[in-house]
Amino acid sequence: MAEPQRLHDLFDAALDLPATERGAFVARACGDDAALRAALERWLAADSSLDTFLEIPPGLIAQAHAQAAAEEVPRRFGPWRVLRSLGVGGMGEVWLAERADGEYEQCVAIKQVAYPTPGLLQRFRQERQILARLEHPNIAHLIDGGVDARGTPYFAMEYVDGMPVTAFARNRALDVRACVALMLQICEGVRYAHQNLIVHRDLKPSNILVGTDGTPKLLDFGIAKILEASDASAPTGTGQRLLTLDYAAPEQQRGEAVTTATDVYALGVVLHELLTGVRPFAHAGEGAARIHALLREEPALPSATVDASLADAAARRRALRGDLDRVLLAALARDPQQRYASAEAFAADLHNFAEGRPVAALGQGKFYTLRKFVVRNRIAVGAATVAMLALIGGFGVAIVQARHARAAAERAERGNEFLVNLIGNANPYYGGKPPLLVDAIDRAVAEIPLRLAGQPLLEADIRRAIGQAYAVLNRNGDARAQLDLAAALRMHAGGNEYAQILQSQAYLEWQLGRYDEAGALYRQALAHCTDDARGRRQRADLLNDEAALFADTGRYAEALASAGQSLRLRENLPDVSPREHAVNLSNLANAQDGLGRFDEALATYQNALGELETLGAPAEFDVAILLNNLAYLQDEMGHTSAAVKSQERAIALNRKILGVDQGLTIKLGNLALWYSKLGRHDEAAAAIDESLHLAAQTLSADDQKLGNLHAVAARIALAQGDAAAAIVQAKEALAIYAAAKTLEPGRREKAQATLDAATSLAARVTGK
Amino acid sequence: MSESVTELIYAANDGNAEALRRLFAHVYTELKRLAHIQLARAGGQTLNTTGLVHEAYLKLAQPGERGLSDREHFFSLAARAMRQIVIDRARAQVADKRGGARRELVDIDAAFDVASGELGPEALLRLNEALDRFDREEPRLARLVELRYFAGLGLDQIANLQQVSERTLNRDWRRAKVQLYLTLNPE
Repeated sequence: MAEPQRLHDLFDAALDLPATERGAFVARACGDDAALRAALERWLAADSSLDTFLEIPPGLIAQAHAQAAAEEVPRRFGPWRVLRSLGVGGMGEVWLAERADGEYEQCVAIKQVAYPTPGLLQRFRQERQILARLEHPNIAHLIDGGVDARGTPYFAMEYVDGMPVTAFARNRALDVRACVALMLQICEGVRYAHQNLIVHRDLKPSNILVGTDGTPKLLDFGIAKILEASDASAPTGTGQRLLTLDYAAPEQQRGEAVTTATDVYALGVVLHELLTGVRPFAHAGEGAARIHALLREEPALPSATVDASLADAAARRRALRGDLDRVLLAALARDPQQRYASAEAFAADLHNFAEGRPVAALGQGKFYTLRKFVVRNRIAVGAATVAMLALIGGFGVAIVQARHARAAAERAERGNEFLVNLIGNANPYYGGKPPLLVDAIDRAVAEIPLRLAGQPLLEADIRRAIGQAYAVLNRNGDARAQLDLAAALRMHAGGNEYAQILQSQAYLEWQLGRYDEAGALYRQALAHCTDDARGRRQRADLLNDEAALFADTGRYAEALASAGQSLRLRENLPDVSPREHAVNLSNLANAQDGLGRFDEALATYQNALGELETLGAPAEFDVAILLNNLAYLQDEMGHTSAAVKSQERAIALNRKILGVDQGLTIKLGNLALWYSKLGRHDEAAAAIDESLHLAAQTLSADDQKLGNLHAVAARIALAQGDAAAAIVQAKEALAIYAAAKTLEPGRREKAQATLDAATSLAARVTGK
Repeated sequence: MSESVTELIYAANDGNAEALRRLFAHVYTELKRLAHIQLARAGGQTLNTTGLVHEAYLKLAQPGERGLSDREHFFSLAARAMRQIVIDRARAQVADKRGGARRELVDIDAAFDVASGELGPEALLRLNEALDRFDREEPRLARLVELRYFAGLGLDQIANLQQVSERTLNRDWRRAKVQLYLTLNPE
């Protein structure tokens, strides 16, 4: 069939001519090449006679035809008359239908499996079963079900006459706030499903339709999973159903266990798309790079990915920067444990955003005491909380897995160790963003009697962890209740675990300002430590905490003794972590500082700093605290320039790790004071302005620390010669001191002195 | 599901032969399944393969912002899969006929096929042989026939997909038809 090129060319050229001119063209073009001319004429004749050849697509073979003929297009499903097909889904076909008996006007979507294989039928029954237990305004609900004329089951569900959520948002040009509000409604439906122990597993815009009234509804629970004990060990794969890559959580793509956090990821992708106009990893481009990014990288900062072609791109970038960035990244964390554990937790933070409160993903930083930051060991918060929820979370997911793990190990002790290690080793700052989930902890508490019945020691350790988390969250009453229960459960067994519970109780009392009680609890805990390596390590931790407590109450000599004892114990312990050692050193330095042994303190701080700096990013939080305390010392020693440098570094780290919090507020205030001492007035004014601005969200109105900040502002204003501003600020400080529950000696007097100086300055100025 | 078709497409594009083979298996399975459903829907009428392939594409590739080359790649694979489905069935039909069973019935079917402009199973097998030769000698035309005839795409769609002018495609298509027709009907 390899015809010469000449024939092809002439054929093409002839086709461009009207039929009447072709004869003349062929004669002219072929000349006396009779073979060419015959072939060309044959081709052109064939061309004009071929009307239907290859124009009707081949039907499949007779067998398929016969089969198809037997399968009529359904016209009726029970009382429903089919109007049209809505499409083919993963399992079968979906039809739009209406009541055939005219009873009332209602359109429904009818779903039926394509082929009643056992596997498909089972899935189908499961979807129906799932829908039957879900009655919620944001979920398309089950209306009816039955079998058709051929005995194949079908069900009718609410027909949503809407469009996918992304298209809806685009059409209505929803702004950031409206998108968040819409996502909150979607979360309602998902939260409700989670409460019913159902994970959707395939959330994406085409399964989230928004009606003309703006109500979003979830559809297609076709691959949803009921979280039950019997499922925990079942394969988590989604059968033949192909995942939508962009919306599938990493653990889903790897075929690992699916939890409620899996849905959170998908919601995160949808929200990302709503807010930025693109999905996460869009920047990674197409092809292998994108796949790689999806599976292995954390997404880019959402505010940096806003589709520039959006009309309000700049406004969106601004609105996303900060809180929404953090919320989205927390929802999209590759590690499910770093993610919001459920739609409820995700929604709670979106509510925070919507109502202008700081988001939890921001990190809570409530660890500091008054003037200096007390350095302690391992207060497990964020990650521990998450780990705990993963184990006994109110969602029934992980507890099942945990129970299975234990059953497999056939020893409750194993599960115990697992949990305790998970919690004990978790450091809230290492990820930079502790996701706190206080609501979920509440639910976990409610589940304890059910989940941990008959395992008192495990229950004790878990209640301790929960109590500790409550303490960090300032839910002190709840914290005490949990810790008391834990102590009661462990009291008889005693030992290091009991000492740990006492340690947590001590921390709580300390936080509440009950220093004597805290000290007594530390003593008691020390008495319960065993004499082996583990007990000695525990004792070292306790002594270190005790040193910090002593320092906090001005008992520096005792602080020095405890810190020194702790360090000596560590010297003989195997595998002391460099971080623990450095933290210990810095408590020693703090005590030396308190005793006026400044040179020793400076050297100790510098040692500790050197040790921490070798640890890189994971120790940055400790470095930030240390630099802050070092700055105080340097200021005390009259090295104000050095103090400023230390504090600037501390502040940069604070911004990076914890964002806006009370620590940042206070640090900025002190930096402002030192700038002012150095005559750097503009920098001082800027720093105190920012500090007071942050104080509005991070300090309560009657906190003496807020008074201190106003006093600093007054002194700075005075130094700049602005008497009027100094008077306003000093009066504010005095008013706060008057209302404050506790007040350090000398504060009021200093503020009063500033006010007097400002008043006399004002008089001199007006006097002129 | 440990592998995603999207990933396979990318891998196949990068020249991974195993990925191509697995991708083909996916497409083939999916198309067969969809063909069944569509036949059921159409009540046995002529199969609308365009819709079918589009459906398969939507189902398999989940096109979001996929690039054009991915789409073209997918459609040419889908068309190749359709060709194989049709030819497999034609082969089965011919074998069935040679086996002697249902001879009369099949003849009636064949007569119907001819009257309606469709190719009978034997004609399909010969078309396939001719296409095999095209695969070697004029691969561009072979792809075109697969896309137009077996996948049922319109020339406008193919033009869009391959980024060539519809006029060029039209000439190619007519030449392909003529050559194939003359191969199937030598005088």
